[in-house]
Amino acid sequence: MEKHIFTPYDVELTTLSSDVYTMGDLVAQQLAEAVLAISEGDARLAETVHQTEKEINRLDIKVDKTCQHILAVRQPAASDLRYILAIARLAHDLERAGDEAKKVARLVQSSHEQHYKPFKDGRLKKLAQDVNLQLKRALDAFRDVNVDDAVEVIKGDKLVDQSYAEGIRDTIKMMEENPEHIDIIMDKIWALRSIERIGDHAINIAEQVIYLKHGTDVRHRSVKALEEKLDT
Amino acid sequence: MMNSAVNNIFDQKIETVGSPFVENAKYNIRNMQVSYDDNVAINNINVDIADKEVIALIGPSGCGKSTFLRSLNRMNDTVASCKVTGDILLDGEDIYRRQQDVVALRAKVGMVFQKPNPFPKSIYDNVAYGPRIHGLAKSKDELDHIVERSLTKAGLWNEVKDRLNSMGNGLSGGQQQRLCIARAIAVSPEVILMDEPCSALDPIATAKIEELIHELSENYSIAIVTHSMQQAARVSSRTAYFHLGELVEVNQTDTVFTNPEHNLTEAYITGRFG
Repeated sequence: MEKHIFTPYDVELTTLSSDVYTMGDLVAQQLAEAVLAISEGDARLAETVHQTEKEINRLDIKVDKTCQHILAVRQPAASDLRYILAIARLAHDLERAGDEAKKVARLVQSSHEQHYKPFKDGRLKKLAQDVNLQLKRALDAFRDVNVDDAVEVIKGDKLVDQSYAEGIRDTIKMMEENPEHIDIIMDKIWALRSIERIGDHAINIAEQVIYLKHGTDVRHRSVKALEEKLDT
Repeated sequence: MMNSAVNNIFDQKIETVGSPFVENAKYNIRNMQVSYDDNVAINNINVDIADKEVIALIGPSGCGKSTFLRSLNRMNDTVASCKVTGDILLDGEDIYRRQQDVVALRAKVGMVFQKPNPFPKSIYDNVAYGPRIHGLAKSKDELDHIVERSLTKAGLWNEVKDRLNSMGNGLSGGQQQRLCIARAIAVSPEVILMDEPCSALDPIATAKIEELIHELSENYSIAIVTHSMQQAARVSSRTAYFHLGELVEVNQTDTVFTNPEHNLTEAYITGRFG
């Protein structure tokens, strides 16, 4: 895209995207550290996740203010308008994803205090890696305005959901085998759920790629309906 | 169509994208070309203007939007070097046909200009001037009624009803512009052409004119040339984008400002070239 005649506008847009991609990197880092923290019972690492969350919140407010400024002062239209709306939604999703990662890190307390370690089975780490990959691909698709890649991310959520469902089944089995540790096994369910929700935020980000490119709002549609819409 | 002597800068025709044609057309414009001596100002214009719609005409300076507007009531007739070709039909009739009464045409198609231009007469006489020369009032009472109705429609009556004999050019800029609109609608036009009507006005006066445009659109077709993207977005239902004398895109205003079809429209409204 060509640059604007009024150059400060381009500086503002570049700052916006830079802040949002930084939020994405921080969320990915948070999630990896949160899962490691509960696997190892590392309270210090969990505190790092908490601190990172503060930085994500700060960036969220900064992005919001910049969007407000651009809407009021630059009065964006067409692709610029879609970009501002999409960026605001991305920041909201990443902030929520950060909250979920923080929830995972908070579980360190219970895993640390008890001898039983349900988080060591590797499934959480694998789910977190898959979700982080989804998040990265969604943000890359946004950066490149690549609708094909965005659609692949949306389709990829099915695998995340399957992995989540398998995790829940395992956890129920653990409860049957270790009824005395139901409270801490429940924490694993909360962790699985939080990670799966971060995957949903990655889908939301991918949907914004389609809005940015085509101006079509594909939120709240099935994958089949989405593909039909994109074919028309 | 095009004279071979004409300096043709339009070797590659741009096909207008979007929805240039409508079912309830007031104007049908086909293959319109306007040239000044050997210079083609606008070319290959194909568009309808709907009954009781507000259509905004936007584009960079020199793109031909004012030339297009002034051709719709033959204001360009006053320019000796100007030549208009193609079909420009108003209610199905060619306004450039030989037997067209131009005075009657300009009563039917009123015009409001960039700079308010009231006559050096009283407020009353500014509005009464048109109805008098067209013989629209049989009595003083009838003329009074036309003046009151026109000033009311223009949103000015309450501000001037106690000083109708004051000079029109003694009003504020915004009031003068609304007086000019009252003057235009006093002769019961069906179309109003506006050439940057708010460019000399402050935001409050601009808002009043825009509200007036909104109200007038219930009864009139309005074509407005504006350099303000926000004004085009606020007042019009369709927007036409002109570029170097060609009509690039005509679409619903919402579409033009959120997801335009043509990359030239996109570049212009996002401020990527001037």
